[in-house]
Amino acid sequence: MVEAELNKENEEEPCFDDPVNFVDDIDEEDLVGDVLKQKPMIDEYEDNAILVFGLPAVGQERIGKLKNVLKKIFDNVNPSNSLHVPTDEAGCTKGVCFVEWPDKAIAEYACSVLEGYKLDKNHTFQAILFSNIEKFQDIDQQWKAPEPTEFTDIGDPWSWMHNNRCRDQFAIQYEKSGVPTVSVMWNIKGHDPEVADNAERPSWTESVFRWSPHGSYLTTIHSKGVLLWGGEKFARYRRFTHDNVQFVDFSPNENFLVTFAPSDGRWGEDEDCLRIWDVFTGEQLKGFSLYALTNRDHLPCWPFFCWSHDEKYFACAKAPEKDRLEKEKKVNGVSIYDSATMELLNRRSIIIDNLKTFSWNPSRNILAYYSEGEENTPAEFGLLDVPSGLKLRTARIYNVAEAQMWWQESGMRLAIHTQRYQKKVTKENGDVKYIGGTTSHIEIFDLSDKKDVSQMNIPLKEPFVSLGWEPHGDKLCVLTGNAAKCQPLVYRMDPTKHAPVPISKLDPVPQLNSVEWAPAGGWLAVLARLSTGGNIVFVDASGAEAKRSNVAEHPGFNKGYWDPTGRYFVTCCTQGGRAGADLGYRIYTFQGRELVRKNLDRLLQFKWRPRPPVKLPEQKLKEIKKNLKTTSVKFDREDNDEKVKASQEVIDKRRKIMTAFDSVRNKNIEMVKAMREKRMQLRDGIDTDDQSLKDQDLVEEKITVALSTQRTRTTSGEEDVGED
Amino acid sequence: MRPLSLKGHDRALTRVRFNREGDLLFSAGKNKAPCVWYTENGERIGTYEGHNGVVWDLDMSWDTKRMVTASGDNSIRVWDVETGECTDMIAQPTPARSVTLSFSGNLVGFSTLKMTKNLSSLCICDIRDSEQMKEGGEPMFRTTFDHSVVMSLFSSLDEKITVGNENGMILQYDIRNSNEPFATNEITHRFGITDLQLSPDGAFIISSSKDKTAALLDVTNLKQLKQYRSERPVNSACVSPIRDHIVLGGGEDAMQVTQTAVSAGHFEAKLYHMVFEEEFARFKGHFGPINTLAFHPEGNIIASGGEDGYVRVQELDSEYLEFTYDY
Repeated sequence: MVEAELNKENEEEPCFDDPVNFVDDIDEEDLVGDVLKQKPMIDEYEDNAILVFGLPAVGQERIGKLKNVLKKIFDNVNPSNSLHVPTDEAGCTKGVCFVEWPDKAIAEYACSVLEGYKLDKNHTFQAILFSNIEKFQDIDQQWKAPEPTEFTDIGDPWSWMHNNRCRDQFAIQYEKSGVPTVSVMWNIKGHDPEVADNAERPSWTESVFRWSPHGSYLTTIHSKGVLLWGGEKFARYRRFTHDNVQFVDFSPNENFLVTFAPSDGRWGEDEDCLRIWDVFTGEQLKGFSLYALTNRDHLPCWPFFCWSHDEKYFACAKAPEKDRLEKEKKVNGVSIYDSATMELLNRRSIIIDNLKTFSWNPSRNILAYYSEGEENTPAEFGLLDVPSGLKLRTARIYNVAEAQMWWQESGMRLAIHTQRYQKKVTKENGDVKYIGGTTSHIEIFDLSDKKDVSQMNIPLKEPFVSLGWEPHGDKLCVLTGNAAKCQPLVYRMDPTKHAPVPISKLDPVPQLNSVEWAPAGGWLAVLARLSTGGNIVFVDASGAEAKRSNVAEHPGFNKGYWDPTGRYFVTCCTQGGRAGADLGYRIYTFQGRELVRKNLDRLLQFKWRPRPPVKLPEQKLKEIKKNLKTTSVKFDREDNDEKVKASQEVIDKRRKIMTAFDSVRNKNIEMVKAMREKRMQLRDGIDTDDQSLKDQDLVEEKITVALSTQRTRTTSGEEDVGED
Repeated sequence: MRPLSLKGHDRALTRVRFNREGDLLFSAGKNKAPCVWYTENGERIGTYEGHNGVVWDLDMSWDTKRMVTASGDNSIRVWDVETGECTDMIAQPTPARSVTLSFSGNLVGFSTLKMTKNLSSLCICDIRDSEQMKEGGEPMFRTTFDHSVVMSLFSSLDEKITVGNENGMILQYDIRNSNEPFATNEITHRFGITDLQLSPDGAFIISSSKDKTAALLDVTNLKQLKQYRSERPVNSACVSPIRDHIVLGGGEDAMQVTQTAVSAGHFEAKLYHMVFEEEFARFKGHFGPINTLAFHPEGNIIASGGEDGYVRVQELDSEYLEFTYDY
């Protein structure tokens, strides 16, 4: 030991310093090039690391325990990770940690999993990618607090509801003397519709217009975006900028607006071609990429999002997955979004294999779905409770070729039509042939019982055509038959019976194809849309037996709507309907008596203005029903006064027109009279205008007038006599 | 009374006219022989044989002695109504499309179609002047058009003639000046004129057009006074001699008739109030478009000729005569 120490002292340490004038001209690359390649880059780290906030801040003594807990969580995400928990001077943790992952994809995945992870009651994780930290460092110095947008006062948005005659409005789009025009009109019984205040504007919209679901706003579509108009004079209320917008949809209570514009880019380059807006503030809440949602570039359907009745959720079909050959598989689920956060509910879609269609219950957060059957699996129809995801009821049916579902407006019942086959043969080219034809069945789910959903079945003898529920009652109308002979069948749902009770014996009418119940129920119109005859059968189903009240005709009409109160019905021929039909609309009473007939050039749309739902208390309703007789006297008197006044107005107007016309007529007749001399001269001195001369110079001639004729065999050449 | 349905033409009708007294009904069609009928019972009195092609138009003089016809065989013929003899013939280079007789019945105006290098022409000849009526004679009035004149009408005595052409223009000429029109109307009709008729009181001209409208024009300056809108092309319109009514008829273009249901074809004759322009009645009968209409001088009968080859004589019932508008 001593020796060694001595030796050390004796040996002079070599000098490793560079000479004074040494210039280091050897590149590190040449020196340690192979190692340098592996040198970690700062941004590589940044991409692979994440920051997790929201950790409990613990003292030195418990760091080990915390690390163990964290390690367990992170290992669940991916076992290959490295954790770093920074501490302060005292050795306490700061409530934050760094985690490094093998690559960027895992880091992003971890980020999405850990964001919002609940460690315990008081601690929820927040995770961000390390690379995002720059965004927080580099805050825009120019940023200013947004200016409060000025309140646009458009007046009372429901002013039309205050009409003292309780009239309804409708809007039409047509060509008025060559200019596309949108007009909002008052429907006045016994009178031509009148244009509402300041509501006839040429080129108001660039494609189509739309009412919001409660009728508060008129929506017009322009190349730069969407405009909402409202108030008494249809002032501009909101603007939503979305270039080349094509489709617009409202949520049921008109708080949200969805717009869609096709994107120019292909293959997922659309960032936010689907946008959701807050109608009240005019702000964009969320932009969706169509490609991300559907794996396609084209919109599969519109409205793309289906809203629940309370606007809490909106849903769309889950994007179909692709197999290895990039071939699309069938849709296997539904994505439900929470409108409060605009995020996927529970962070994942609900899986339903082979989903064909789904629809929301109009009054409860229940989703009805139909998933197609395959070779050996039956089709499934089910009711899904949202957000719990529980299946309330399912029905499995084999051999379903086709199916449709209809909710009753009240949300009490769901009707499902299924077309079932005996045997199916799939040809080589993929065409499917059903051997032995198909039969139609109707299944009904009844939700009126709180505890249990019951199921009923109506087998149909004739092929199914269409179906319609009474919105809030207990009746159902099913159309069956074929084009030549189609019969409406009205059923009543009797809670004491196990099957719906038929209550109609209506005659078949050709080409019927849709059922429209009056919004208040009781009455319905059965339509033969797009047919040559254009029949509209009005049925009174308010009594014990459904009876036909009238049949109207509107050849070639393609649309039929009840007004929001169910007092009037309109049929219209619009562009894009039956070729060659006269464009125009006709308004009928609910019993089918025609009131108005208008032909309009290039009629594109006819839309009643919807009314917001008004709930009267039960007691008030009873009161109104009780006093109907006394109050109706007043209304009848008002109607009468109106009629007299209207006809007086018409008479005044006519008088004016007649006076103007007569002045021209008299002038011309005077002129003709003044030429009497000349006229006589031209006709050999005979005054042909003089009526008294008429009987002179008559030649008596005898002719026979056949009072009745009979067809007899005649020899040819005798058939000159006209038939009568 | 039941309407008479007269079958004397085996092809589409082109013109029906009553004589001034209204006891005779003349009809022309796409077959070669125009007919004359008793209005009262629909009995055919005779035909006028001679033309060798479609007869587009006919007119007779106030005293029903003379009848003129315009035919697709490139000729105008003058007939003796009673004997059925053809007294004169004016040959033309192209088909004659319309013909009209003046108030006196001595001047005949007619128009010919444009074909290849021949322009459409409007001519007036004096029937009494054998120089004008003979082969190669020079008419007293002649003017030409780039667009075919399809309808002509002596609108004021023997002095003014009004014509309508295939692209909707209406022109009025003073017969002393063939260089320029006395009045024109280019705005009322967008498509071809199908008929021009004088109102019985001589104060108005009623025009009909393929643009689905008929219009009432001031006889002095062709200004549009009223317009009657229909759902289909209008082929003919005329004014009632006794009431402020007009009747118009037409229907789906003959080309498309086979593809349309009768109810959608609008083959009805429609009655409008002349002043208020409102349709108040219509009557069915034809199963093809109506090509020509005429009011009986008494005002209670309407004759119509259709593409279906029938002439219908419709007597209006007493309810029509009692019907009034409040004003």
